[in-house]
Amino acid sequence: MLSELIQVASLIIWDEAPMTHRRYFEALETAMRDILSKHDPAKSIIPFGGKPIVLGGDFHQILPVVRKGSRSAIVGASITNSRLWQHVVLLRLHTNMRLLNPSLEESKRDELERFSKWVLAIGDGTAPAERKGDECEASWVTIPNDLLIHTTGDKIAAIVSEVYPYFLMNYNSLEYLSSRAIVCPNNITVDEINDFIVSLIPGDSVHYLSCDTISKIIRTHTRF
Amino acid sequence: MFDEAVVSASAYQLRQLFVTVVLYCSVGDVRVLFDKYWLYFTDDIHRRLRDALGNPHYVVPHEQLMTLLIQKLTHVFACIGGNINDYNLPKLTTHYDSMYDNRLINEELDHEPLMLSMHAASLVTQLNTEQRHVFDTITNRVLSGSPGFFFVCGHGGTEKTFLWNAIIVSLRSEKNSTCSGVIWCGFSAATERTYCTLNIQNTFRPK
Repeated sequence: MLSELIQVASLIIWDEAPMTHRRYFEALETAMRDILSKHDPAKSIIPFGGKPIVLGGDFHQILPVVRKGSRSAIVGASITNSRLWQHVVLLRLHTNMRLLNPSLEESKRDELERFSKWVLAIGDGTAPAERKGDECEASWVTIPNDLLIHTTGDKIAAIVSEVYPYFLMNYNSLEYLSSRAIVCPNNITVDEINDFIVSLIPGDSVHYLSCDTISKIIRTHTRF
Repeated sequence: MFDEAVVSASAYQLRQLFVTVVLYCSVGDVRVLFDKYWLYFTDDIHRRLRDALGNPHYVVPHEQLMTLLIQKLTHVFACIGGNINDYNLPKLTTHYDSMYDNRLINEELDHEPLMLSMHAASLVTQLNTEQRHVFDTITNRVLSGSPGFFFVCGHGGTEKTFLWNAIIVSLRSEKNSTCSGVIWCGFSAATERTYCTLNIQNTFRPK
């Protein structure tokens, strides 16, 4: 079924490509040449069997995750080190459309612009960085003070009260909950923060069990 | 329940309702229910066949209607996660072109061309010059049917996802091209879901 779909499709778009291991693209490329050369043997030597492919993404963002991998292992897993990369046509986008949004207030726009520039500078490696210990490359950047939360007490309580102000008054408001989030690099921290927030919500917790299969007829209706 | 529904609901809605009832409501005898109402489920099939033949008085033979209906119901069952063969319903007798049976492709045929082209036009006018350049490069390559391997490189806020939508909708609405289809995969930051979309030429539609 899928091979027929690939045959009749005329374009494949693969978003957020830089975080995918280059082997995935190479596997797709081989599979596509295989599928598309079925009716036209000449296609077995054209990259991706001659089907237009568009990858999208931002190399400032995260690269493929290689478990316990060194820097060179991670870079080696990137699409840019694939034999396919020699065929690529690079198309660049620069304009930050979020800043051009006319409904944005002037002060908000300045703040957003400053933040975007800073994030881009980190991605480009041009943000001022420090070297620690015996590291050969300076890789420690200073986070601007206005992005930090200072506390002398419990750190989880501090970030929760900052991100979720007046939580007890709003915890069942859909809009309030969907407009904020705390992002963590580790799942353990996610669980800690989650346990803390759940403990704030009044009332007893109840477990609801669910199942994902449809049971066959137990009791039957004869009238309808 | 069906006595009320047949008055106001469309055949499409009735088919959805029937499948939902069969799957979740423990119907005693599915076949009796089906036999009682199945003709109501075929209104649109009937009309579409008449339109296709250009004959408003054409009466479709019941066997043919039944076959087309069972095909549609099989699809509805599959979408909800059931299997039509688990129930006492008529079985398909004839074998169909495997291309027409491909559920992945059929699902992508369910788009309204006129709506799409209006939507596409409005999306394309909202593109900025950079996006427009990328859009033209890619769509021209697709419409000319030649190979191409592109990487669209843009940092956060450059509206890549918006660009994908514009490309997909515009290619889908492009009914005149020999084959206009798009498979969209990968993890999209803005939508957080995996897409796989496609749209193909009319020749794959039932004659």
